[in-house]
Amino acid sequence: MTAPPPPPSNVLRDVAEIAETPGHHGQMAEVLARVRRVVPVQAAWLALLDDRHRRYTELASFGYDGRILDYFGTTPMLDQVELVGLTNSALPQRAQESPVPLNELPVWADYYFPAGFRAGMAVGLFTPDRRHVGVLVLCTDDPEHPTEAERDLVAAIARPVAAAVDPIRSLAVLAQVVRDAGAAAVLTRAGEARPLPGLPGHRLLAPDSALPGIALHQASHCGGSASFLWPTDLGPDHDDRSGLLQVTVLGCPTAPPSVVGILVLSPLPGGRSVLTRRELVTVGLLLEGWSDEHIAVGLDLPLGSVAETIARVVVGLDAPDRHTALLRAARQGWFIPPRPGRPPQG
Amino acid sequence: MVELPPGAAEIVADVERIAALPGDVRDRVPELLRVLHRLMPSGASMVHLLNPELREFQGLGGSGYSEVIVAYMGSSEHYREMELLGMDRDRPPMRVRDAPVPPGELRSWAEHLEPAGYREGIGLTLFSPDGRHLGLITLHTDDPAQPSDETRDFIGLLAPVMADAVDPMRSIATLSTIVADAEYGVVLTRGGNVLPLPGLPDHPLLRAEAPVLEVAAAGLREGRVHNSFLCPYPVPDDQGRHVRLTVLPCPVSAPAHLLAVVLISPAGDLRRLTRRELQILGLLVDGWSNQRIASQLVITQRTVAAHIEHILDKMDAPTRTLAAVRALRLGLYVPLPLTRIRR
Repeated sequence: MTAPPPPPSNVLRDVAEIAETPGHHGQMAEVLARVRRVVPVQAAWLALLDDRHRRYTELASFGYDGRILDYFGTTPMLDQVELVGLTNSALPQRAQESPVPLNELPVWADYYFPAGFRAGMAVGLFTPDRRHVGVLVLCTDDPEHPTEAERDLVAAIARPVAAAVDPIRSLAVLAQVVRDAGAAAVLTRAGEARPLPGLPGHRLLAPDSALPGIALHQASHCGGSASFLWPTDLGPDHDDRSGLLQVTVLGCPTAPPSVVGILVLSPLPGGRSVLTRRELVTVGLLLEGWSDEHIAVGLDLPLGSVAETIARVVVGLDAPDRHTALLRAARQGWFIPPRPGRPPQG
Repeated sequence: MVELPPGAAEIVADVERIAALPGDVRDRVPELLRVLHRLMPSGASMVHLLNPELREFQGLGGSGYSEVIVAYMGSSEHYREMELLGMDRDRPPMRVRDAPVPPGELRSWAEHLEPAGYREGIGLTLFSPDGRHLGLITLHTDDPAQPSDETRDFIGLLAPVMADAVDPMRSIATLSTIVADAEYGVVLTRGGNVLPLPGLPDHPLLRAEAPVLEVAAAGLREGRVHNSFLCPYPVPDDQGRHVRLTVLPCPVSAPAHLLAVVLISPAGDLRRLTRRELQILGLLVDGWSNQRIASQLVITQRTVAAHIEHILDKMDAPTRTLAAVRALRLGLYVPLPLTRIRR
């Protein structure tokens, strides 16, 4: 490999700065402008992988006509990027280095060549943990460009560009605000928990778990962020104070539209809750607006027993009355929320 | 023009790659030091992050130094030594032989490093693009010929990218993305001071010792991870205007002296709640009785009851408790210490 000249450190810093403020799509045009400063190209397209719909979503572009841009957003485009190996390798590839003849690639034969482009380069964007997150495509009308040196320069800036486009990056940092975060996931609008790079998953975050849906429901009633307790097992010993995790949802409105925020699980201090499971479930129902009578029916308990439970909650939370106790529990996230549409358990 | 040592391009690319790694500073530091070891075979190295409140360095990723030396390097005496050497300013890297004072007069050299067998070393000051002093990287070696002028100058070239890699504000600035339309923000320190948050301007409500910051700190003491509330901020043509405050603890990886990020955004949908009603919601959230609210606000209990009727209607809540719970969760209340804020 020819050693590229070290890029001037201001270019590195420019791109690194962009990487520090992820999620703002307006800045992606700035990324392209900075790439254009080091590599003379007529057209560029920067796009994020939408793996669910098997296509790329444009973040920024210049120089391509509407017909090409429409084609870029299709699954056949992703298929061709895969075919030439750019979803498996972080090395940039110039058009003449393509393992597939260009006239066999529809994007070249039917789009680039007719539009007057003669050469180009593409690079798959990867995070440091090797997840493919997007693609950067560059085209020129000059067959002499891009040169090998320009290709190597693009190799050097591809990583910070990848970091800038990776929407999950900022979410991983957000998870760190929860002390002792034991596990975390990205919470989607569909109520799914997706892996969060750098943080372990958990059984409660698996696809068959009810927790992500409940977390979504709680967060949507709390302005995006919420905190509550959830049992790690379903052996309902009503007096148990252990086997519970603190669940925190942090909403992230600047994340991509499919993402609500992150879901973090952390242990309780000392591993034990101040309230018993029965008390936590009762508080969860009271916070949802259930009356004592409804709770008695829902939990299949005598009304007097519900009143006794609430009286123990008030004492347990060191509160002067029920009102203050409920606000204290809501503030601390000390309750087990009911499952929407299901009878309460415990 | 700086002479480039062999492998310079790869080293630049590696440092840039490390600086772009997401997440925890502590993961980036050992990798950075490994790259520097390739430039200068050295026996010991460490990143020293500045705690500007204590004027001490916090060692990160140290290797090779004895416990006693590490302890000394974290002392305020060591920081004063660095000040004496001018290492608290954005300057080119300094080797022991470049020092403006005889090394024998420095305690760190005379009592610690030289007796431990080190013969040379280099210190690299780290500054952010906006001029914040972030700290220092030190490398020490038993080879008196290391590092060459060429290596020293090349390390100096890498300094801005290395500073990026260890800048704790990088991950903290990311937190501001939790509020879509944050317009102002600061970092609150454990000492009650405020530091600028990169990317957002500060605000008069966020000055040190401002009541807003005391309310923020109280919520953090309770262990709240996400805390949001309102503060009146009248403007001449809108006397009822409020702004929204959001408080988030700093990530665990941030330096210990940084406590939380405090952000200001537009108040959003206030559900037609008046300034008085938002104030009463603040008292309900704190568990106040109607009687106590009446005497605090110097109004009759009947007036309080009338306000609460309106609040229940606007909060779509059947009881005062549920209205307060809803207000707490949505951050639709003005905490008592903020009710008297005027411009």
